[in-house]
Amino acid sequence: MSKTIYDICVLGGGHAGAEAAWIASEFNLKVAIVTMPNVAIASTPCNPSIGGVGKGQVVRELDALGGLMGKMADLSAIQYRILNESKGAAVQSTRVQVDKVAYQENVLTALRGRKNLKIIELKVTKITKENVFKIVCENLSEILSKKLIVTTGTFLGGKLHCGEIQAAGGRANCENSASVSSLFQNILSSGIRFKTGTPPRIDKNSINYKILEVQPTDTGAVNFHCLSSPFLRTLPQTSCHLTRINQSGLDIIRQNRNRSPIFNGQISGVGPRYCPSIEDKAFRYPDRNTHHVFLEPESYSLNTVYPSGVSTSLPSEVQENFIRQIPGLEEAKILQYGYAVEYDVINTQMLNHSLMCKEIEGLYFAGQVNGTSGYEEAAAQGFIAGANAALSSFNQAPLLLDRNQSYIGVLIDDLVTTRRDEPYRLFTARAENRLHLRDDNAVLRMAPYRSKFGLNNEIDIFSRNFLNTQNLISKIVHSRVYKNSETESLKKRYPSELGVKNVALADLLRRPNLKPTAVLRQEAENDGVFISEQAINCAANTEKYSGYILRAGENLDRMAGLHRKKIDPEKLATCSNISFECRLRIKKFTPQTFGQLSKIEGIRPATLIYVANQEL
Amino acid sequence: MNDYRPAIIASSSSVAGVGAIAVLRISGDLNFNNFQKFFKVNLSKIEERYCYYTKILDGSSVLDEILLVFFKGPRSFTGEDVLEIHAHGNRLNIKNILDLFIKNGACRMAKKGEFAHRAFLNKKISLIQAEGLERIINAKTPLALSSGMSLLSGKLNQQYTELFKLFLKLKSALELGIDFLEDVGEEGHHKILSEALFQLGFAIKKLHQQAKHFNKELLSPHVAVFGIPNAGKSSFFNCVLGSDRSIVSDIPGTTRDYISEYLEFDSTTVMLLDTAGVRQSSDLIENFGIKKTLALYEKSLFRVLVVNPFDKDFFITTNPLINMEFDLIVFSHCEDIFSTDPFLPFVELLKGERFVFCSFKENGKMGPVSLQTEVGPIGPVFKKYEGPIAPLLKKFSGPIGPLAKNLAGPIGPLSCLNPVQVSKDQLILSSGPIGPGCNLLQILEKIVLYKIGQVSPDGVVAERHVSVIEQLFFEWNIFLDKTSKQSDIAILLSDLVLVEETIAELVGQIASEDVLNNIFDNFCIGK
Ligand SMILES: Cc1cc2nc3c(=O)[nH]c(=O)nc-3n(C[C@H](O)[C@H](O)[C@H](O)COP(=O)(O)OP(=O)(O)OC[C@H]3O[C@@H](n4cnc5c(N)ncnc54)[C@H](O)[C@@H]3O)c2cc1C
Repeated sequence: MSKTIYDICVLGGGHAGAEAAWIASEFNLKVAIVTMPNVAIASTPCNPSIGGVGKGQVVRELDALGGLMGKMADLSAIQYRILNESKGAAVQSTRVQVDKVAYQENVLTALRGRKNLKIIELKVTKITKENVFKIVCENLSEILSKKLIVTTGTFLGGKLHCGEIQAAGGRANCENSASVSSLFQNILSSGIRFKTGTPPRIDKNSINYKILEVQPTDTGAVNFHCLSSPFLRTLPQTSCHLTRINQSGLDIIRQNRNRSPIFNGQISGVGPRYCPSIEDKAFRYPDRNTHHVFLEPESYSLNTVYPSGVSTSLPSEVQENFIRQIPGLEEAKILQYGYAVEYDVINTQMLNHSLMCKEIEGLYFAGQVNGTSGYEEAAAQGFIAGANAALSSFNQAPLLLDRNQSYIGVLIDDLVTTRRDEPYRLFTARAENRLHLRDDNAVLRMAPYRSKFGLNNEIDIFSRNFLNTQNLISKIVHSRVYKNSETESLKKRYPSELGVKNVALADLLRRPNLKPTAVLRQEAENDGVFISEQAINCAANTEKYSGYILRAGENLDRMAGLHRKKIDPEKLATCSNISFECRLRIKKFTPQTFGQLSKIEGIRPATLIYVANQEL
Repeated sequence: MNDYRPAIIASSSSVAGVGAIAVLRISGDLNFNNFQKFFKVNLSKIEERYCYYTKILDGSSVLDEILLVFFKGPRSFTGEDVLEIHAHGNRLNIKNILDLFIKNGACRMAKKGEFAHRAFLNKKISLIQAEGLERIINAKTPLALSSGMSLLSGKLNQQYTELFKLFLKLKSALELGIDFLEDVGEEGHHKILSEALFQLGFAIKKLHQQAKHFNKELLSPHVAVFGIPNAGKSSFFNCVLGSDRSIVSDIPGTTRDYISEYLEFDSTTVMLLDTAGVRQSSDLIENFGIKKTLALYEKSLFRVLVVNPFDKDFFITTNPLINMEFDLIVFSHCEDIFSTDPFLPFVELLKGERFVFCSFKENGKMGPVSLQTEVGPIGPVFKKYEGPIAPLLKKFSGPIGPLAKNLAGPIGPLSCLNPVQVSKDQLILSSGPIGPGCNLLQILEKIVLYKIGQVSPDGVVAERHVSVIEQLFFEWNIFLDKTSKQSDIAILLSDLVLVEETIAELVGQIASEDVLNNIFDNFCIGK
């Protein structure tokens, strides 16, 4: 019997790997996921929460595309929070605390439900490519696959630090994996190392909750999964607690500067500035003598509590000492010490927008191995790589998300077009078209992409219906004009509004003092139209922001038309009308579009004018 | 009857002074009768889209040898008649040719983006493309960073830097309220935002008030003298000022890093600076001084290098000055040229577009300084052999030989020059050595003013600044009004774009990466 050749093999079972395998196996393909034994699939090695500002939008985009994360997060959520509620609908986001054990189980069940997906628990030691990829495992067995998606997270060349103690490992209690260069002999090498860290975990029975501020769940938060009823909660909801580390705790850290691997040179990898360890906070902000610490329960079936805000790689006894200075944690029992992990990442500029290596057909990279951090960023990349590996198996055009249409598009575009010197995380500030990239219209934004898969599952039917409803509401919104005879009753409903004569419904939705969703709901009901909450949210906010989006769009278009113009770097590099220095830079950076050319440092305006005029 | 016709415009479409060839374009409804006098070829006989080898004439003298192509409208980039002139790519040459046309009233200088704009008017490109191009160009050359800025006084320079910082602060404060609200809290955010709004508003108002009084006094370009220690910088400095007093007092800024004097050139005030000697050193303090000197280099409009051609220390590869561009090179200690071999790499310094002075020591101090270059059709060129460099050429027929125009060699390009055909007023006449004092000053004045003319050909730097500042003030007030009415912070940020665009025109584009960096640097972010 000849050996099985998989269509797609996913290496790694983190959030990136799970998402990649999930979407790839939605197609009629033979898929395998190979992951280390004794490392739970889709585990949350850091804080047990999913979503957040910008990240929450990513989860909804994934969900609308048919991804896994939103549904799993809902099934495992033990607390919901609405973020930025006071700052306007465009930047409002959802974050949930998940029961990490439940989350892993739910994902495993979902993946096992896919008949064409095989889960193989083996450690991979070597990868080569001939006609197909040959994936060699620790027990010397070989897996063959036409396409390979690498989602090895923090494991490649992983090294853990806890004070003076250093050990090879991908994360706590897990082996590491070979470095990039030994895993991909003759294919790839990497010189880039990043670092991340996590706080100690505390026994919940050793915490004095009585003196702590309670952070309850938000009952008004809408579920991530668009097919479920919006406020359905599967698990019982619980609270988090808030405390702070004060001067006495910070002093202990400051006294132990030379024992901190970050400050004594033991760690050379670069950590993210937006996720500082408590050592970073203590030394970089010497004038601040208090920092928040959020106590987040990890699971109903575990005793561990995650103290958010005190990520550290100090020696265990120092951790012990400063933790006990924190109010409520005086008697704290540490169940697992905090640590930092250093790992290899690849240079993502070698990937194209479908996350495939430009040089190696069929080899995809996704997740933290690409130098990102965060579960949502990992999942989004996993989805894109998984979908594209599948689409290309059928010779279909790749799934490329526009950065003006999605946060996922922003993430992928940033990754493959720029170089980073610290782990990458999504912020809404990175999106040019932020007013359009909202929670409420995720289905609307993703429907055109999802429809390209040519599938006809539950989500496809839902998103078609959603589009139809939106078109319908939009017609109502733009055609409903209140006659003079209605002015009186309108004034009663909106006493703050002057000039409600001959007003159109669309106008009312855009008024800064009114809540567009409330107005649309009420007016629709008055007219005897009843619409789902999701549809109302989407339609009302779309109208509210339409003018601004249009204006921003014009701005973007002005640049985008030019920016997207293809240029020929080889031709330009030998063009005598371009200065020598500019030619050198063009040769070095090989820009493919005018936009990329204009971003290269040192390219002169005259060169840009010349190139633009040539290409126009 | 409406008889309006757009003006005929001309400008260079190439990277001035860098490429070997530059392309000049004249666009409009061209009447060849007005142009015939500038060209040797008979314009009435030329065919469109053919290339002609011909000469540019200024009266009887030949300015340059060129290639000429005619595009008949609408079959051209702008949709109008276009004459394309491929000339030698030196800045001065381009300027001379353009000046020739403009002074004779045949056309006017095109404004930034005007060619693209005409192309748009004639439906050659869409407005979106034309505006996009203009914005990218503006972003690359904001007023504060473009060479125009080195003409402005240090005080204004400081205000722009401040403006940039405060705008970044405001934008960060707004972004902080979206991505990092949990880190700073509602109250904290409110405080940070109001402070940022107030500070930027104050800075804009102040700038706006001052802008009303903008005038030429704001233009005070720096002319700075650089060199390694003992190269003869101070001697040159004193020589220019016409005395050998050692100037240490009346130092503005009170730092001891440089000595300065104001000079009145035409109606422009110029600040002459003598900088600390640059030398590679492990001494921290000295390195700090070097940093300052290099910063002065960035800020200066006209850069003078003083070199002793016999000082090997100058020519070591770690000397940062060796890779820098200068407008004028002064060779001190030329007296030894007769007895000793000058250090070979010094020939490298003679390459490129720059003026060269030589000087002899006399009575133990810097003696007569003589100009070795004149303003030729492709910029400064070497004078014929009369000066002190002449013996040099004869003595070393090797590396320096090729400088002579009839000898081919590494400095080849110079040899194709025709230094004779230069109109009188562009030529700096100086026969032989020039004595210390005012003569040298006069020459310096000419070449500095020449450079100012290059940087700001129409002399309207101040006006452009004023009009952008006016607009900034206007947009700011509209924005400020919105901050009190709009609670949706993402909408506010979208409104801020209008302010941002004018700020960008002054101080450059602010990327989202800048904002994030600013946030990470100034706030404790992250759980
Ligand atoms: C200590 C720590 C702290 C963190 N802190 C933060 C933080 O503060 N903020 C934040 O946003 N994110 C943080 N994260 C990151 C977040 O956990 C990751 O971004 C996300 O989980 C990455 O998902 P992934 O799928 O890319 O990789 P991972 O979740 O790391 O999964 C990698 C998978 O690959 C498998 N694998 C690796 N090598 C092999 C091999 N050779 N053979 C077989 N299988 C292999 C592993 O078994 C694992 O299943 C932290 C992670 C760790 C470990």
